[in-house]
Amino acid sequence: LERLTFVAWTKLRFPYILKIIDEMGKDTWLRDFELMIMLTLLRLGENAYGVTIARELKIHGGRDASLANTYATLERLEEKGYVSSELGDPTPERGGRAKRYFRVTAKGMVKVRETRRVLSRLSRGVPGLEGETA
Amino acid sequence: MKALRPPVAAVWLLEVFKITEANPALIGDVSEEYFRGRSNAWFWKQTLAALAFSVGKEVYSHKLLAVAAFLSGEAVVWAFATALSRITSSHLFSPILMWWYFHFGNAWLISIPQVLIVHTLSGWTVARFDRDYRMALVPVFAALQSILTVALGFPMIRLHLVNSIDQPRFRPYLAVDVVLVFLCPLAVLLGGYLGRGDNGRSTAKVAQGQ
Repeated sequence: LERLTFVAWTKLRFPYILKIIDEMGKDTWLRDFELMIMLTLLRLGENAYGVTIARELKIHGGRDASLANTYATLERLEEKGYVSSELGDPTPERGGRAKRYFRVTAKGMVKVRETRRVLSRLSRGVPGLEGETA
Repeated sequence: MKALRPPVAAVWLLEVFKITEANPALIGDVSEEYFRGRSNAWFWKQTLAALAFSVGKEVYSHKLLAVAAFLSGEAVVWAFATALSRITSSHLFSPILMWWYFHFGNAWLISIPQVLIVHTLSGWTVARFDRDYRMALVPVFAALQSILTVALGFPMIRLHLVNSIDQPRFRPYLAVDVVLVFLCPLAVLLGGYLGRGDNGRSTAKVAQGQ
């Protein structure tokens, strides 16, 4: 009976557990790569698309991220409403495919400021980090 | 700008997994960088990353479906493996197997087809479970089977590996273990291919919610 109860409980709770996992990632703090991408978008302004974002990340972030990883993060940020995108014109050097330009939304800007403020507050007074800015 | 063509197999994979349709901007970016002088290895790296992210996203966004499909596939593996082992150890078949073993001295000609049949059936089941998402479910299930084969067979693989260092007669057994690790996922993929349906929507259309 104990086993049956456990099986029934698991069966009933399983979709609920999956829902919690979904909710966990929805509106939390920006992860390191997400923050890096948001800052890169702000640096690039109007010319922020996959290639330029990956290049900027390599130059300033020292991170050779794959384009797929960059897109996955951008799409996640778009789902959260921090980033918006629009398609440009198709070009021959891209096999006739259009560029997808990204920019930070007002909600995203608030989140970047908030994350930066928290990072600054947390690193203030930490031994070994004095004099450095977040 | 290079006048080369990107690796044909990588482009084929991108098309088979409908990434070209689902994310044309990503493929455009990869093409742009490649024609600016990136290597074939770089193109492959981008292709494999795109495949991993695409499959991962599909499975993550349909977790319940994925778990149910994987459990069904696993149930097929266990049910058919048990049935086949019962059949081969029955009064009817065991004398034939004994005769085979004493004349040819190996059992792999019996065990490898068994594994092939069982895993092909499981791959077919996962693909038929939901044909719309089979392109994501089947490769993940194949990888899962490979991991399970290594995990469950680890004591035997270790034994064969240790014994085959100084006793060459154990090397064929080790070879069969290694073959099975690769054969299981391949059989699952074959089953997934056989279980494809013409009425299934492409992953691109699914991704766009059509």
